[in-house]
Amino acid sequence: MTQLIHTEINCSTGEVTERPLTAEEIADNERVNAEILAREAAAAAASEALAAIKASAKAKLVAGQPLTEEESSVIVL
Amino acid sequence: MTMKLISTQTVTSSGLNAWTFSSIPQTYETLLLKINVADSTAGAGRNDFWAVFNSDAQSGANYYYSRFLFYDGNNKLVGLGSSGVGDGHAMPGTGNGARFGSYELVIPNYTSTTINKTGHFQGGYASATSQSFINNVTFINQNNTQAVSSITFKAAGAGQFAINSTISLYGLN
Repeated sequence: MTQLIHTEINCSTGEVTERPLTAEEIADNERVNAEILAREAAAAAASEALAAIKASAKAKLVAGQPLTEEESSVIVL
Repeated sequence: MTMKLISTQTVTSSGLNAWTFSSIPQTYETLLLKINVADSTAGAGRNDFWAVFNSDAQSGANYYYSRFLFYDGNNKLVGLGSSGVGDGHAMPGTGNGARFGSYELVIPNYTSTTINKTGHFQGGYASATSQSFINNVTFINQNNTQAVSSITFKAAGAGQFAINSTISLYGLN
């Protein structure tokens, strides 16, 4: 497995230093990454669910059928 | 307006997960970072990366991010809401044919010691395999008034910035 590196560039001196990430930094990165992926998945699922409700509402309107309260709430007048 | 290159760095070897510009001169009004990166983690279709100021912890009460992703493959705009968790942008991975993404981060009033620090971060990439695009717009708020003297970019998880990834830091007046 490739060792993960942190590079620091000192903008005043131009000096570049490298060090391996600590185990704590790696663990924190993994934790944050898991939270980001979970939020992305939740947001994508919510977006798809909303699209499905809108499609259902549109189909019912075209067919002259009554909407559910959830479907009526996505109609923009 | 004048724009001066403060530092530019290019990745030349594998393994780079975090990238810090430190001792940033406090002589400009605004910082502009031009970012051209990809992730080289084996098999990754994409990976996130994000920015933190002054070596802050990447989670907790220090930051709030509001992020939107736009996927053109299904014309879907996904708002990820705000979060105190470090959050940033999607960058392409080697699973996307090693195409690079292009991003800009602007931090106005970075030397102020009286206002909270904010930045707007935008950019995206095209997938080589599906010709789809992912665009990102992120607003960053740091909840303290400390002047920004260093900026760190981190690849999510065990991600690695690919060789030839470049970040350039400019000062604007």
